Amino acid sequence: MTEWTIAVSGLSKRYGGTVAVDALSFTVRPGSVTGFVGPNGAGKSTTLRMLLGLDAPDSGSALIGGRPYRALHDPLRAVGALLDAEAVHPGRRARAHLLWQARYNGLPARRVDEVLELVGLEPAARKRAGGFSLGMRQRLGIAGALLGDPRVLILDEPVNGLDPEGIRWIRGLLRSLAAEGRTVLVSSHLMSELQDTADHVIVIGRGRLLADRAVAELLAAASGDRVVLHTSHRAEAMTVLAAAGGTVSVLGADALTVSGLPVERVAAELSGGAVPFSALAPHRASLEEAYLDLTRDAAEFRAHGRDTEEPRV
Amino acid sequence: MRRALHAEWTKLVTVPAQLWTLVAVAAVLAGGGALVAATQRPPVCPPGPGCAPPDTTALVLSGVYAAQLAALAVAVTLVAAEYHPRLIVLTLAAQPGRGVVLAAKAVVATGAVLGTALVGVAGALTAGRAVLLTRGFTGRGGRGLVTPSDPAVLRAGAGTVLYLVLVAVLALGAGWILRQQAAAAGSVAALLYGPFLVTRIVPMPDRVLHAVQDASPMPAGLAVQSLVPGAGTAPLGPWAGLAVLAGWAVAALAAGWLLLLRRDG
Repeated sequence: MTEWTIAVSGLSKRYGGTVAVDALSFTVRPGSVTGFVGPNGAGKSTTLRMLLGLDAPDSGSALIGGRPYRALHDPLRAVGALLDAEAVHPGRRARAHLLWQARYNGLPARRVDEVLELVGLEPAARKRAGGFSLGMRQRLGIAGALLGDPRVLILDEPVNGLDPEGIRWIRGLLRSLAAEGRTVLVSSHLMSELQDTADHVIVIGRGRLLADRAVAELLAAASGDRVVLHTSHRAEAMTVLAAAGGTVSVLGADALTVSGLPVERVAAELSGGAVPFSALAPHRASLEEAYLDLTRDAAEFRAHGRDTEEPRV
Repeated sequence: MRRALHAEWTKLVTVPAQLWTLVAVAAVLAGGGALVAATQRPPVCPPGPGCAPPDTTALVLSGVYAAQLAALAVAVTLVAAEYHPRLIVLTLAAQPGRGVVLAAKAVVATGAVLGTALVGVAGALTAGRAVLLTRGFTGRGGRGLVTPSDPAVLRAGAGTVLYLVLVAVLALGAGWILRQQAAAAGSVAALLYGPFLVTRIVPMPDRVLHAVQDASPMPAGLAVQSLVPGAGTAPLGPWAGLAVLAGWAVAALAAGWLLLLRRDG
């Protein structure tokens, strides 16, 4: 039986003088939702296009279940992909849009009706796709990805254009697809979108791998040993804590971040110095912060090189 | 391949504009034939070598000059619609074999044009004959009536159908090369009508005129409509003329195929 793993190894692609993907390697395993994150222009879409055999890599390989996409027989039965929700003929009805895709892989018309129901587009099945909102097109694209009941799902920015109800729906869908043992790779340029969805994230910047870690690990690392302190007596607090050996930085009008001291020690020092404070807690990083840390490091790294352009976030 | 054909056929018939354009191929052929027939009169001179009736077969089939625009539009659209927006991504995800996709589109487009052109040509010959009868063409003494059972007339009719199929192939090639609907349709139309108009407008010696006609896809291809071989739009035999058009069509499709293989999807 095929192990439906996505394996990218030493993948590189340049367009003219621009390096889009640079010696990228990562593995995506079945049974969990893997986020694929990076600023716009980081090379996410290029990587996904190479995975689907739409672009030829300059070097390296991108395999699904051990094979290049182009070698898959009836690929929709193995891999479901959403690359571009705008890829619909405006004059064709939603059902027909899915029907021709189904026919390419010998899938029955019944399956088209099933996926339309699954994504909640049943009422619009006989409507022309030209009149669809971006959210509806996104659902239609997801329906297309699910057509062949594939073991592997590759979705590029599926949350774009969805309303809050739609976002909740797709999060649930992705989680349940992963729970069924499928391999789910979801790209996004917004880390926060993946906070409650992804188990694992692959972060890239400028075509290079920045992180390939479990979300829980990434959050723990980004949180560090920092303590967030809220006080109206900012100056006094900074003096007291600096004297105790902490590194203090200003977070906001009445908030400070302290590192180098545990929470209990901070509390003791403030009490000892008679500095009033309203809240004190260990810092819990959001995935967004973890991501910004990573991409900031990448920016500093690049500053030593020839190219010093900031990443577009 | 059967699945690809089924899929591309589904694409063709689920866009209403494509179906109407196919209907137009047949309607323009038949309607054009009847209209042109209605403008004809039999010659008034006594039958003889100095009094040739018009080539009514070529005349009732002259709807092809307009019908070919509809045929090329169907074929160009079947390809160019893959690129704006980029449906080609979905097509190649479902069938990574570029050659399979190209072949399926070619079979579907030529099949559809073949079917409608057959209906249109049959309609043009039948309606043209009926109208010519009312205009006083009796057929007696070589009086220029279209006789569908005449092998030469059948050849002209079948040749016209084949001509439209080859125009569709040429248009498919242009679609794959240019990937842009207006540009591809415009280029094919210019290639078809351009040399023809030049020969009408620019004075040139017969030798040059015949060379241009022999090399140009439309004049060469439509030589098949002439009941007297070599007396029509080009000094070529009917099948030699169609072979010239076929050369253009195959070259365009081959260039499109190479580009499809070379370009990223």
